[in-house]
Amino acid sequence: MKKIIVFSFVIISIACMFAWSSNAIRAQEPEQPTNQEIQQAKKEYTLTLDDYRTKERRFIVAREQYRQLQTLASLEEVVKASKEVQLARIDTLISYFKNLTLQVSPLRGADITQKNLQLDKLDGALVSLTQLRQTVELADDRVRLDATSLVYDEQHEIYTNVAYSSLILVRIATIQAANDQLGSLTAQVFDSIKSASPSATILAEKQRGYDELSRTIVQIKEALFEATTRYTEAALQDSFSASTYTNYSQYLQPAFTKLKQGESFIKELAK
Amino acid sequence: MNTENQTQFMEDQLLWQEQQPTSVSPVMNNAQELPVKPPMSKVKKIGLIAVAVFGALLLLMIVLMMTMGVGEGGLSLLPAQPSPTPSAQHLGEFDQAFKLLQQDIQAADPSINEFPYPPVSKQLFIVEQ
Repeated sequence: MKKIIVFSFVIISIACMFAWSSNAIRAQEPEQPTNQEIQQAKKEYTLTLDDYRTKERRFIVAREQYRQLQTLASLEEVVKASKEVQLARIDTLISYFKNLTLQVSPLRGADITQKNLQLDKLDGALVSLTQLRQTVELADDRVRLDATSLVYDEQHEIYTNVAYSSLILVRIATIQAANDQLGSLTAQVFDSIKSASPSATILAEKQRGYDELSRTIVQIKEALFEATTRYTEAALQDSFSASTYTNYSQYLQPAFTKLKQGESFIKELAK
Repeated sequence: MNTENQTQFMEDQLLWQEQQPTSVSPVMNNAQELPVKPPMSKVKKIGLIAVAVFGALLLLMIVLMMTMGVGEGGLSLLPAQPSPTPSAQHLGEFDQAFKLLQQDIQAADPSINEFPYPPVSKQLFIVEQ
C-alpha cells in the first residue's frame, strides 16, 4: 500500500510540474490574433478612413468659405471642422497602426529581436497618437488647432517610417516562412520517396530533382539574408518611406520568383 | 519385560526433555514478538484506491496531451496546429500540405501591399502657416 501512495505522489508531482512548465511556456508566447480580430480591425480601419475623407471634404469647404467671407461665423464653422478632421485623421492612424500590430505580432519567419523592436515602435506610434488626440480634444480655437495640426505634420515622418518598416518586415518574414515550409516539405517528400523503395533509375532522377530544389531553397535563403541585413541597417537610421518599400518589393521579387519555382519543383518531385 | 522397557523409555524421555534448553528457535521467537497488524479501515482503503486511480488518470492525460496535442480550448484529439507536412507514406497525402504552401507563397508576393500608409493630408491649417 505504501508503494501505491509513493507511486501516486510521484505521478501527481510530475503532472503538476508538467502543467506548470507548459503554462510558463505559453505565458512567454505572444498572444496570436484570431482571424476574427484581424477582420474586425480591417473593418474598423475602412470605416475610420471613410469618416476621415468625409470630414476632410467638409473642412476644405469650410476653410474656403472662411477665407472668402472672413466672418466670425465662418471662422466658428472652420474651427469646428478642423477639430473634427484632425480627430478623424488620428483615429484613422490609430486604427491603421493597430492593424499593422496584428500583422507583425504573429509573423513566423521574422527574427524575434526585429519583431519585438518593430512592435515597440508600433506601440510608440500608438501612444504618441493617443496623446495628440487628447491635445486636439482640448483645443477649441483657431490658434490651438493650427498648432496641433503642425504637431502632426512634424510627427508624420516618424509615423510613415514605422508604417513602412513594419510592412517591409512583413514582406521579408512571409517569404522566409514560406521558404522554411518549402524546405521542410521537400525533406519529407524525399523521405517518403525513399521509403517507397523505387528503382535505382527513378531514385537517381528524384535525387537530382531534390538537389535542384535544395539549391533553390538555399538561393532564397541567401537573398533573404541580404534583404534582412539591408533592413537592419536601414532600421538603425529609421529611413523607411513609401519609396523604400517599393525598392524592397523589387529587391525581393527574384526571391519570390524562386519560391514559385520551388513550389512547382516540389509538386513535380512528388509525382 | 516389555512394560519395564516402556517405563524406562518414558523416564529417559522425560529426563532428556528436562535437560534440553527451554528457549525456542529464534525464528519462532521473532514470530511471537511481531505485533499483530490491525485490519485496515474501509475508508483508508477507498482513499488509497482513489489516489491511485487519480494518479493513473493524470498519467493517461499527460500521455494524451503529449501524443495528440493540446488545442486552444483544452484537450483536443487533433493537434492544435496541424502539421502542414504529414509524414505520409503515399505522396498523395501531401496534397493538403501543398495547398497550405501555395497559400503561404501567395501571401508572400512582395508586389502586394494591401496596407499602404493611409491617404491622410498634411497641412490641415485654417490659416496658412
